[in-house]
Amino acid sequence: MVRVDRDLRDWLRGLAVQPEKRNGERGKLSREGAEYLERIATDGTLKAALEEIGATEPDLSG
Amino acid sequence: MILVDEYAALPALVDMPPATLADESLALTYSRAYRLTRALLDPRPGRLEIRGRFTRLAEALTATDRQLLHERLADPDPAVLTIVDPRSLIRTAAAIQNTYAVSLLQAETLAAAVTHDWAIRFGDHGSLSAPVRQAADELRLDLAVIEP
Repeated sequence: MVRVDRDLRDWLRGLAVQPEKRNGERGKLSREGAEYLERIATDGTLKAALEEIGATEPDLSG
Repeated sequence: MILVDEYAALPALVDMPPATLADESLALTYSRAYRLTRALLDPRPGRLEIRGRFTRLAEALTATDRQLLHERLADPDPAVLTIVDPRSLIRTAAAIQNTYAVSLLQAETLAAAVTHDWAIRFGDHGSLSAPVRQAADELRLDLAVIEP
């Protein structure tokens, strides 16, 4: 018998982003958060992560 | 509309687009949005607690920033970034992948550019493989790599 992992199921359901539930104006990331994401997009950090995905899943490479 | 890769899309999503694209409406294919989301997925307790490179990227953000980032990835402001609907591109992408030695991700990018007549601007030279360059040349696509 398979045991239902409710924590996993609830977490996965919670990941879905439902735009209609968004309350009006879009939130703005903190300056520190935005600068961090801008930096990792250009300093090779994001590139290493994307290449790691592509290395195991060829159709997500490039 | 300018079609971009993840390296140009991510700064744009947080209101820090590359200078050369600052006044442009940007588009990102579904598979690139998916790959970017995977790279930035935050960990949770239990058996999904993956401690790889992917999770560490998002761990530097506050919980609020992580939530805002994923809301923007899933539903970006159309004035900033559009996630391209992949359905109308399936046949074109399939034909491109049958013609050139490219991945599904690359084929979808080329298909979107061909179908919508959009220019492509990559934020990293790694996005421009030789087969992608060949396809872009033979299909007369406007493709370039921008400097950050």
